[in-house]
Amino acid sequence: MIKTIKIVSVLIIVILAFNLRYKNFYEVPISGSSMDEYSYSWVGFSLIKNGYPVGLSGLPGYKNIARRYVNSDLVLNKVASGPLPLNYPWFDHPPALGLLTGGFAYIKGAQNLEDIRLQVARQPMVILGTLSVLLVFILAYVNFGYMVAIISSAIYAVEPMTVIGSRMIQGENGVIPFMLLSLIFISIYLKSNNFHKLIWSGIFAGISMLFKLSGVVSVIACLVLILLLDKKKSKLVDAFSLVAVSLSIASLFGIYGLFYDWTTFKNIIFSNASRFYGIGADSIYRLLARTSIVSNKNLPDGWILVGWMSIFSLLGIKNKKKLLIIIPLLAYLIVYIFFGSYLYFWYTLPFLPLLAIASGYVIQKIIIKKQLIKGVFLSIIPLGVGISSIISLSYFQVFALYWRIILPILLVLFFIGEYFKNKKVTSIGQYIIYFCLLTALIANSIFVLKFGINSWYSFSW
Amino acid sequence: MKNSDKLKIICKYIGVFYLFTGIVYLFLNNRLKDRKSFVLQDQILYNYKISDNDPCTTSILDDPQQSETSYFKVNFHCGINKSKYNTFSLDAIKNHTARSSIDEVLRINQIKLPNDWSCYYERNLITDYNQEIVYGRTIDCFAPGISVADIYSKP
Repeated sequence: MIKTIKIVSVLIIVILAFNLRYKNFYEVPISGSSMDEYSYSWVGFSLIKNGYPVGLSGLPGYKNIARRYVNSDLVLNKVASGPLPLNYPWFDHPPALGLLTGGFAYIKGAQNLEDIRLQVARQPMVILGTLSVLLVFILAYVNFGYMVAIISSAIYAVEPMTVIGSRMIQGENGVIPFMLLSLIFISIYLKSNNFHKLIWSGIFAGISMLFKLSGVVSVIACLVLILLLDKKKSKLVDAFSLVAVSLSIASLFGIYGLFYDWTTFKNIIFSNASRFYGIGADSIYRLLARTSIVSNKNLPDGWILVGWMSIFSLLGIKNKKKLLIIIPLLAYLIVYIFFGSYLYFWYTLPFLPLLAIASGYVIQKIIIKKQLIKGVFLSIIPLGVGISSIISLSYFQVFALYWRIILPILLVLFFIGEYFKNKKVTSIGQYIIYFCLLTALIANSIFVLKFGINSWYSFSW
Repeated sequence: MKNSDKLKIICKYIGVFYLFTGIVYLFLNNRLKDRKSFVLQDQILYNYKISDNDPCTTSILDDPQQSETSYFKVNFHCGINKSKYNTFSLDAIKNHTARSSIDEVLRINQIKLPNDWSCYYERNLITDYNQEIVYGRTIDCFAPGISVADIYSKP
């Protein structure tokens, strides 16, 4: 019976995740928020249809450039962009994501680049995003148990930045599921010592690099995890095996460059390395504090801050398993800082599943250990943000008195309960924290479901 | 598992992987022989769809700042108070003629221009649509009953 309830709970979360991602998936983010979405799909489509990758770039180093008005979704009537710089053969990024979205558009009957609409091309992203929620559950379950897995996957399923960000055709959204798969298999390998699991981890880490080169985070994270957590004498051989397998797959991108035009390929790789460092010196602050999906479009998401607070909290917990979250996060932080080009939100997407797991772990620990004050802080942030996203400030005035009174009372009561170890107060406190978290998740779900094209223009936070 | 066994597995894996990759490479190399001479043709890019018969439903949101010297304007006037202004870059079209510039704007906006409209290049009626056009200038197309004076004499 309990097993059935557990399975049903996971299914509910996955179905909810799918529905939240699917609802308004082609309206929000609005077409033209990022022309990369078209570019990725055009590359994959032209590879399949014409045997040649054509995409948008503008990076120096391309021999072939054509400035054309390709008006998919009538985007050029909504966004002032000028003629689009089409480059071919296109090597800005590996082509896996384009093959997925452009290939899907091709199957659905697109005949040329202009035919590719986000209504079609974003559909695989909805599936990838939903799959990632399931993988967050599995990764958390393998390492931290069922409750952490449920909390983590529920957060990752509903938090607005993740839901809306995961709809976008961006390389990071391809990196995430394969990074999670590589981490799941390396976790199983570290437990079971089954060498084939290590190979699978290497395969998935390699595939993540075929979506975007920042997928190297999977290789770095798994490598460091082997070196730190593998207790066997043969760990150097294991590390070598992982790198050999993953880089062999990643080398397909180089072979692809060789196949089309090696000189241009080299130019673009070096050109990428010398890109404008637009994330600036304040990148870490912005990483922690920013919740804008595109310029000036902030979304109400309290979970990101909770995630970072949980990471800092995790650093103080003595548990080697925490490294399975900390190491990939640090690895991606290094990749983010090193490769950082612009302050685009989608560059930060691979942090989010790791932050969700960290939040799940810390929240569960707080509840078990009855650390009510910490619990109030961690739950009140997403709760408050969630409420303010669905209730206007003027309407909130109706409840303002209750909020003013209840919140301080709870803080005092929880302080007393925690300080004097009062069992009654602490057990009530646990339920209140659960209630706050559940309300926050419901508020997030309502917000995302209602966030359509009109809200995109009218909503401000 | 011994280290030697692990290394054997990895060697086998890499051998099979690159053998398969090599076969695919040769197959594609043969299949896409003419890739080095690839030409980006319009059929690959555009769908030439017409979404609306009204030329004043939408317009290109180009930024003349970006196009700078290469920009050109094609405006459609459906009524005295109903016009759409399009700015676009001539770099995007091969022939710099009145016909090709109007056609390009119609194609981008996915609209159709009725046959009874008349177009003016710098306020001179276009009689030869193959006439050359120059950067920074304007073509205005008018619905029947609307004249240059109706639009440009407005305060």
